[in-house]
Amino acid sequence: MRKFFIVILAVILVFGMTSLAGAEKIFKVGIGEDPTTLNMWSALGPGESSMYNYVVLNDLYDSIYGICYPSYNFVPRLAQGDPGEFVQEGEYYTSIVPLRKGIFWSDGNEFTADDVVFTYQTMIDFDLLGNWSDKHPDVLVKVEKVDDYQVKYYLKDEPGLAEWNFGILQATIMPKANWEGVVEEAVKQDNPTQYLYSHDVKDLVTINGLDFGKWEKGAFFQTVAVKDFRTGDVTRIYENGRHEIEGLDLNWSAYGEAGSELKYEIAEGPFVDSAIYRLYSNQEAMIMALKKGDIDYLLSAQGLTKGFRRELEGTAGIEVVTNPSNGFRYMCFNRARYPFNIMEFNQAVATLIDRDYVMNQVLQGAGVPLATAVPPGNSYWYNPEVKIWGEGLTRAQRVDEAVKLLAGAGFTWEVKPAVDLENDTYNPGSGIVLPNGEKMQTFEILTPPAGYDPMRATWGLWIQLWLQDIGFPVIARPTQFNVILEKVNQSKDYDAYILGWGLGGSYPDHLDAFFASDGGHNRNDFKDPVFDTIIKSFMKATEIETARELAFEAQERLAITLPYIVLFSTPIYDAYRKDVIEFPAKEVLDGIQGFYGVPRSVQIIN
Amino acid sequence: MLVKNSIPSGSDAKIISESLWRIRLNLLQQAWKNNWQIFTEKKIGLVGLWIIGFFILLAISHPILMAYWSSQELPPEAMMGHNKSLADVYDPIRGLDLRPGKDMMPLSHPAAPSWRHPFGTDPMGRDVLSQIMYSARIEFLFGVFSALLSVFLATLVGAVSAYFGGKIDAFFMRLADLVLTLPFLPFLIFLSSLLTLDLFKLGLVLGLLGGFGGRTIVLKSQALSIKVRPYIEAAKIAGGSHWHIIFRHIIPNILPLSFFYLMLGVTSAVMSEATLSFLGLLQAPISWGLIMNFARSFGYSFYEAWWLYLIPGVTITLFCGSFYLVGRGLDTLVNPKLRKR
Amino acid sequence: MGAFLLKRTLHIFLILFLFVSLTYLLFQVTPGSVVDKFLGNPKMTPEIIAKIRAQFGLDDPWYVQYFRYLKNVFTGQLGISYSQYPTPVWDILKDRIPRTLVLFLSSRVISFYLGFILGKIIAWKRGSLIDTSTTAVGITFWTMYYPLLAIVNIWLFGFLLGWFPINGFTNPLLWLNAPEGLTVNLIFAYMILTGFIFLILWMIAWLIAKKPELSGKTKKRIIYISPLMVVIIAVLVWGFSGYGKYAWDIIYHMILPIFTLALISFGGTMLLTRDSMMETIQEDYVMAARAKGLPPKLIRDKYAARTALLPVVTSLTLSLGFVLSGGVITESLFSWPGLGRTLLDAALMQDVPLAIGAFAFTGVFVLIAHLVVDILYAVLDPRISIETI
Repeated sequence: MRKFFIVILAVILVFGMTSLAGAEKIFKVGIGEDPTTLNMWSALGPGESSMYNYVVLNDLYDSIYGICYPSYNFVPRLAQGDPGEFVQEGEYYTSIVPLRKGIFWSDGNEFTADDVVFTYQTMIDFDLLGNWSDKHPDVLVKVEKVDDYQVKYYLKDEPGLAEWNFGILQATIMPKANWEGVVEEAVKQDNPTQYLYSHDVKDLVTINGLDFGKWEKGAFFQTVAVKDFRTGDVTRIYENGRHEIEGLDLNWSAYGEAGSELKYEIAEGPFVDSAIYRLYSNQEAMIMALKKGDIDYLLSAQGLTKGFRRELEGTAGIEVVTNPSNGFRYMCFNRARYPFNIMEFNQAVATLIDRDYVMNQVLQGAGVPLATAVPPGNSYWYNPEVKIWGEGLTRAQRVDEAVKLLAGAGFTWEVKPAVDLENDTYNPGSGIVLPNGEKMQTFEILTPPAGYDPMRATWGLWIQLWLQDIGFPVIARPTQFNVILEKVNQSKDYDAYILGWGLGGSYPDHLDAFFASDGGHNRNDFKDPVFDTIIKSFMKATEIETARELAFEAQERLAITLPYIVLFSTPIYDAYRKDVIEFPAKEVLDGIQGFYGVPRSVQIIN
Repeated sequence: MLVKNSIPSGSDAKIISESLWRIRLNLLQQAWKNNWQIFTEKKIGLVGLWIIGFFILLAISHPILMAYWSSQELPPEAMMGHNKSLADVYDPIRGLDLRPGKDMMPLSHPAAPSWRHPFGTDPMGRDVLSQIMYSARIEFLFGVFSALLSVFLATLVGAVSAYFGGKIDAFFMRLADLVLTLPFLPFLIFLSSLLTLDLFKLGLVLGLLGGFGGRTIVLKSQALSIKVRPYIEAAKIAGGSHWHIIFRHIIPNILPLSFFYLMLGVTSAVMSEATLSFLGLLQAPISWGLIMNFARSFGYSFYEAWWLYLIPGVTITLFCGSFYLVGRGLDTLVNPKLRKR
Repeated sequence: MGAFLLKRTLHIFLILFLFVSLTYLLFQVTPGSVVDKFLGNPKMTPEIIAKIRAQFGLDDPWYVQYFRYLKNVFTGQLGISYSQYPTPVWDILKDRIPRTLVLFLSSRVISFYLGFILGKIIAWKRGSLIDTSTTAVGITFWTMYYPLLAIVNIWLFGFLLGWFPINGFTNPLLWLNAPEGLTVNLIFAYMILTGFIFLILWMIAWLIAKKPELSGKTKKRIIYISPLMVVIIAVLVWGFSGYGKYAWDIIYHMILPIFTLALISFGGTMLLTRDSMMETIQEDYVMAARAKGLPPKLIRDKYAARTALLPVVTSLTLSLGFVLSGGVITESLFSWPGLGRTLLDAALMQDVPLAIGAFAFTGVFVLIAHLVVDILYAVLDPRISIETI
């Protein structure tokens, strides 16, 4: 009996001892979840909420213009240079965009104006949603082919930078030859969009050197290099901000004069034979795999946390890069309710909150204190001069300041907080009476529960404590995430909440969405005519310098009116095996993971 | 029983019923003694009891022992506005150790176990020992509440459906089938997305699920075997009401089994709670499972901060194990065939 | 028998109906909906979200949606997932079922087998050192906090010692060069098939061996050697088909999760067997066998264990019903994305069609297991007749 089993085991072992892949250059990445589709229409549409669809598919396609790694600047990708000036033609404003010659799809067809026209027409005809939606705003009427290498955009109105450069022009272009049949078939269906989205893609036709390889659902996703399709692009970024791009049929420069020192030189390959995205639903195991060498780099939706950084920094062969994130967590009062709509009330609360203490002492530096809705990592748009309430004050001074602000707005106390500035102490107050003479009722700050996000739950506890000190009857209530969302977005039944935003690009048009009276994401009924004027002219700005000045002005206004009391942002850590791979640039807003590990530019050094 | 029913009324009845009460007490005492002897024959139950005793001590001593940390451990920021008498006890949820260590630098958190923090600190600088002790109280309340509720319901439903049979029985048995069909953990996870699941609500849900689920079936079959005993027939003939028979004759006879399930109920309730906490789906300020969850969500792996996994994990194991051991000890009471020959 | 089956089938449909209704009701009262996941994206304006809501049919009245799900479940058309729109629910389930089945089925069978063997031995030697120590170990693992055990095992065996893969079920480097059309699910399917063939052949061997005219030795030979032959043939077939290394890769990845699962759950079966054995040992017929002076091992295996098997088989069958619901913790910690995670994610994202589909699917499986238990009981235990249940 036993002998038989040993024989069987030996046989099995022999089968197991087969040699694996040879000397191929493979970029091995750990990912946290499966992508959900191979269909790019769907991936940028309903699949938009799964980050991993971008991770695996993003670099298989390209757009006419894009954002530059690592600077986030607007640069040409498939375009041959800058878009043409707008010309009025009858009722429309038109602009001509030149395209690069000699770029091929992976099926051998050349990329031409037909593909561009096809993509925009499909977007408009199907009214594609998700990531597609801001690529075809109502202002875009149509796109026409001038010749094989020029397209003409027809717009109802001259657009601002937000709509044009950072919207319409950045649409991902899809291959016409590959999709034309599907789109024609889709139009005949009852639900054309669903047909388009659910089309089961077997052979992807991609552009720019990377192609689909293999997908084992639940295990790994592989992309492979197509060597003949290289564009040979080299991007040079100089200290003064000047960008130069040289490559196949492209010689472009912008953002500064020549003569400054070279900062980055980023070549586009791909320089790997293939990239494998391996699934680890357990982040701890992903870290172990990185330490063991099973993977070279990792991408996870929640990012690496401080603990993992501490663990990995001490490991040989691994480099950890820290970058600012492009997002923030904030507290926000319901401005439709009294007394939260009193500006001084918000200012007093902001004064009482000691960001530095919670972030650096309590949370041990797990995040970065932040006071504006444009994070400093977004350096071109970040205004460092905005007012930060209570900055540098001690606790007693903060209480003193807040009491003054509230008293100035007409708040009174049954027992007023007594501050002794000399000894830097104070006695808590109680029984706040509102300016209208009513006693202040207990209100709630909704925070995500500690199990979901310990950081925001902790913030809630401390803010509650500080507000209670001054006499506010307040409770920080940890609440299920979707319950908060429901209360904030639908029933509007809340006093205050703590949530966060992750911002996609660097152009700060989110200020309009969040804080303009008609903003798509104005969640707390904040209305400020002064701000509205500033932000509307920002949205219409066509020059980047003007836009910047207006964005600064908007931030200054927001720091006074405080629709959001911004609390902190989290740093982004990227960890990779420095003995195996090398990234051309590591200082990136939102980290290298913001560019999904740049598979087109990463180098395998070992 | 027959005695009581044959007495018509008046003062005589009182005297006899009191003596009956006395007889009952004696009987109970006798039964208790016997059962205790059987229980202690197997060391397994005793070990469990010892561990439970240890946990009770841990829970009770929390405020006393934690006075040691008292104000010095709490930062001045946290003290203000706090009720001073409350601040005397270290707060395991908001407490933060900012005092400098030997090298005059503040401890970097999470800190490994040391004399100052025997079980180390968590990523937010809070003492793990105090969290373990503080949670022990909550876990006790939670576990016993949920188990009591479930066993109470299961016993009642089991007895009732065994006694009446027919449609009532069919209804409760199909209900039990339905409950048994639910994949348990996914269902709880699903519930946690539905409502803000705190410990009380979780205890309620677990109690209800347990009370109408598998335990009912077992208790019912036990009650069935009692129902067919001759003395139940005798009680019926003597005119005992349905509820009288159920409460006086059937339930007392299935109580040992209920007690057995009470112990297992605590184990399974605390285990479910710990698992949900581990997944970050439970809304509680602190619990044993949450200690591990915090460590995970701050990204401290087992390799980097082993104490944040090992200590709560072992605590949960010990706690659940102790109730299970007592349950095993009771097994011999429930099932005479398991006794030593 | 026929009437009984009919009655139980009706019951199953009734429970399934209640089950789906309950699930739907719970989703209905849950705040928020699947479109909430878009709310975190500043580019998604409320108008766009409203369009998506309409596309998903979320604006229909609740009873329209309810009947849609009822129809879906009872016609087997499970609808289209919201969170992975527009993938049909069945396609998602189809991908995950084989791997959930293979992992959890094998771990259940192994832990039950282990538990039964150990329980049999310690019941016989009760009171001895082996009994005490094995029981102690069994109880320790049985009440062990599972996430801790899994985390420690992954760290110890996957990382520190490096004996087994840390996570997942394949080594991508091996599968990259796999021939066209060879997928993990195909191998999983063949593995299930192999197991199934093995089971059937073994049962045939059993039936042959039961013939009274055969001597004890021949019986033994048939029962033990025939499965061994099947195993050898299977290994050879796998080996020569060229699929062997892929199957081996999967098995190699399965060892650690199965080991962990078996460790945590063998105790339950072991203690159950022990208790059940102790009861049967005191039955008259076992006493009689002892009095006859039969060898203890024979009494243990032939007389006591067979009856004691009954509750163990019941508990195995019932637990097999839950094989499909997988294990959320196991699947997350071992990166084994199966049905358990699907259920969890669908519930958390309020992907109603996917969640109801997965719930209903696992529910049917459990209900069938219940039915099998009832029939098994009647077949194995002559004291119970079908009519009494």
